[in-house]
Amino acid sequence: MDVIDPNARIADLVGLLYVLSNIFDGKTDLYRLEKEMEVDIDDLMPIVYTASNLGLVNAESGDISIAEKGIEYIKSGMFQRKNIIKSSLTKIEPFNTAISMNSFSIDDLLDRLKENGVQTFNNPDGSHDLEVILIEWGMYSKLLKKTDDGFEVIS
Amino acid sequence: MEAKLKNESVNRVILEAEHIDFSYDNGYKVFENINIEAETGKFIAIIGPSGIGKSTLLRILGGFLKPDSGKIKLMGKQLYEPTPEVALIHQSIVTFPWMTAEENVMLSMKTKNMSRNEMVEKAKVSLSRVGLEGFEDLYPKEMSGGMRQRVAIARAFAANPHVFLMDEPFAHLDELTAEGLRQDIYNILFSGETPLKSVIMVSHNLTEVLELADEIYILNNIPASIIGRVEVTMQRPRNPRSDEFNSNLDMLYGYLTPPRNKR
Amino acid sequence: MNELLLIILGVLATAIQVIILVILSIISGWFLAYASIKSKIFENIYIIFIEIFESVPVITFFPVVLIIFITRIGGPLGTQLATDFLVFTAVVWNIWMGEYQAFKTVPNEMVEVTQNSRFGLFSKLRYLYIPFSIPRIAANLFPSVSDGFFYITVSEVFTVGVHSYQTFGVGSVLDTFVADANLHAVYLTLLILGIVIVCVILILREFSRYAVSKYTLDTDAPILKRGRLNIKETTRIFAAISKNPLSRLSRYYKYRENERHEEKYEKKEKKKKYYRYGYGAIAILLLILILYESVSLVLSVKIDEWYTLFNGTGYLLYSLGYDYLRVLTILLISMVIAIFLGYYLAVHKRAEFFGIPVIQALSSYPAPIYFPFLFILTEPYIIGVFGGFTNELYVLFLGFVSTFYYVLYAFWMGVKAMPGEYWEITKNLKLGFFKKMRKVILPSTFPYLISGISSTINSAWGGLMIGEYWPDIYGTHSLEIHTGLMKTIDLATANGNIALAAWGSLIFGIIVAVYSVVFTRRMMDVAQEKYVAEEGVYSS
Repeated sequence: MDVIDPNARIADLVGLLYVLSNIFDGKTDLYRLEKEMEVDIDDLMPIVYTASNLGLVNAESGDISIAEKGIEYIKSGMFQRKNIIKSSLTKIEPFNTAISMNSFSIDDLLDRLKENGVQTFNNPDGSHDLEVILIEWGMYSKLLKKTDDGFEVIS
Repeated sequence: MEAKLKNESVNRVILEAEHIDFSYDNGYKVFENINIEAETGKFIAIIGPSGIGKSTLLRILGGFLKPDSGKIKLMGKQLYEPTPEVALIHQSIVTFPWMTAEENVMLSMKTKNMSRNEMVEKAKVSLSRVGLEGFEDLYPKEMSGGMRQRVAIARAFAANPHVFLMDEPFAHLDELTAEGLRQDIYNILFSGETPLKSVIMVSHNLTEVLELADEIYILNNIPASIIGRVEVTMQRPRNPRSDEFNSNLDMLYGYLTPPRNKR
Repeated sequence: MNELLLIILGVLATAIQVIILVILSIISGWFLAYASIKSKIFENIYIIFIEIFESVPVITFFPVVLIIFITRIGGPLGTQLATDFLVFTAVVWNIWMGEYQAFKTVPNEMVEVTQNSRFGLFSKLRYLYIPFSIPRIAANLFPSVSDGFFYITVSEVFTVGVHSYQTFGVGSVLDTFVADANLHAVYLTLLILGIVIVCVILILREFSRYAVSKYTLDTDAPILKRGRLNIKETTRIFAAISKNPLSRLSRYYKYRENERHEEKYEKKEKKKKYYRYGYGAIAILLLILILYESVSLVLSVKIDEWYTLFNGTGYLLYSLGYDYLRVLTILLISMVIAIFLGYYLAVHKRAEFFGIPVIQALSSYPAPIYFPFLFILTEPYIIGVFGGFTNELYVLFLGFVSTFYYVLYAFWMGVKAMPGEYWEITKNLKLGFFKKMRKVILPSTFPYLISGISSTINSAWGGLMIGEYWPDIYGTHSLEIHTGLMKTIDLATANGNIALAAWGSLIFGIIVAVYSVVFTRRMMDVAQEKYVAEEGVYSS
């Protein structure tokens, strides 16, 4: 199941895509990326998984390369970038489930995710992680808006 | 004709430090004869070894600290105290946890003669400029560091500043996050939709400085003075692995490590 | 039914007075704290003022204060104001100190944001300083409210010489019922007071929770998990700098070493050290100023009575020695209990969950209210066992119940605040309980213990003041010990010998103040310098 990693942030995504396209001409080994950026796997992998799930990079067998969509992202302005994220989010969790629920509270979404077999948020910090992800990715890309007791999909 | 030129040159320089001397209360002299000029459209960076007083210098430039002698001028007028027109962006992310994003942004308009509605409107505009439309009612606690940094920048923007003073704004972040924020913030700062004319950033990250700056001042010695001023003419986006970048980097290190016989 | 209404009104009158006075302290504290961060001179005076009065139990001066209010203002209003003054002085110090500390610790960056926008006094207070101080206020509210209840109930009925002064409240209502031997009403009053106190405690807990969730800086903890200090980055920079011989040299230069840690842009604060000796002088001066009224009272006394007073001073000091022994005893017992119980609570989640609120409620329930009933119930048995020592025992017990919570709390918080790494080390080394206590827990909770001890000592004096001479505690039976300064003051008050009462209070005040400056402050300094456990673990 494709999931947004709880530790992945928009700023990391911009950083990753920028570094890939600008420093590595679009393609490199992950270890080189790690060395160049002086980050460790805790810093690096969440955004690599997430960017890959969003279809912005291709990562496999220790290689990483920027995808068409990633290049488009880098070249776009803020508005278009948000649109790219928004359209990419719909296929991955927790947003896939969130969209099916339309309007929900964090707890309801947590329960539904569990039912759907998404284990990422099934831990003591899960509720907080989920909220951060919904805000960081969902609200930022204007897929979601906040309501009094949770979130709602913007139609 | 001559008068007009002179006038133009006055307008081109937004913020200016003239012959700044500064000591701590205990008599320890920090700066001697510092001169800096920030021109319209320029991203200025100040570098120097840790402990040299970069943050102190930034606060003198913003009117937060008074120099022992010398002047700070904002568009030709002497600056005696902090003003919203010269906005300080901190190293640590400063948002007020008890206020929503919108209230945080409205903070910088409280002392202006504006109605509440105007302020709310302006805050919305400021927030959307940094990409946070829809975030008005969120508290900083609900946001990631990157988002909070945007709130802090939106707050500074809301006061229509001419100059941003940035105190190592990316120092606490890991390199990937910092890289992303640098790009984002650079784009936001120079989107041309604001009265912002210049940015002065202090940093100890030479790569970061070379990536962003148009002009670099190098601070060294005790008491500190400007030992070099470098124009960076590389095209953007700048690739830190390019030869040009590396030779620039090499030159900066040259300033920080003067020839042995000089010392 | 009428009776019930009277009780409810009495309890509410008391509770509302406490709450209003607490609110007054909070509001006044904001302005005083702001003044003290703006002016060094004001700060020095203010702090010494707080510290002295925090360490001098104001109840010992109550007779004098009462007389002043009655002679200057007079009538029921004077009595009411005297009571309120006493309660105010009991609740105010914690809160003022908390607010001052909060204002002192407002991050410079936040202040700069307000400077950047050119905020005036009220805007700064409203948007920055006041919200920032809320968690500290919440932390200090609990002891303040419980002190407030303690002192208001004892001051509602007060006898000076042949005059008895009363203000309406649970204390005076209860007093009437006891005089009428209306036991049913007495129990009802105790019950209703209990309910109200529990409600207040619950509200305070909710408020604390709210204050912490809304007003604390999370120091960007969750994001710094993402953007934590980049060690490698730092080393890279150091590598760059170490190429510069001068900056390497600078590391050996003492001044620079300090500066290097983080770039200091604040102008250095003047050294505090030499204020220290001035402190004591200012403190005593202030004390004398505050006692001016009482001194003038003493002055109005005939010359030959002065001789009597001076001649009696030796005896007063001797009695004070006795009282110090009592305080010490109470302190030791409290500490032993605190250390074992506090430790138990801190390491057992369930016990803590239920234990802490119970202890909070108990400690807010003013001891002087239930003490007489405890006395009636147990005295016959105790006297059989302890004989002539019985009264002494009761006084110690009263001192103990009115005070041991403070040290217990302080210790419990200290244990809670211990870095997790310390626990792991004790496990790693397989330290036994006592070794663990001695080597790790006591040293690392030392700063907390010291502050707990100083509050405990202070409140113990209050307990002694009430207990050492308690006329007609039930019927015509009085609780009275043999020798003690508090008793002497109490007796002098009861006999209307205000001159002696004031003289005794003055001597007591000076000694306690000197003790506080010389001993407590020193211990606090030592604690802060040496035992701040948080710094033992390098966070990255």
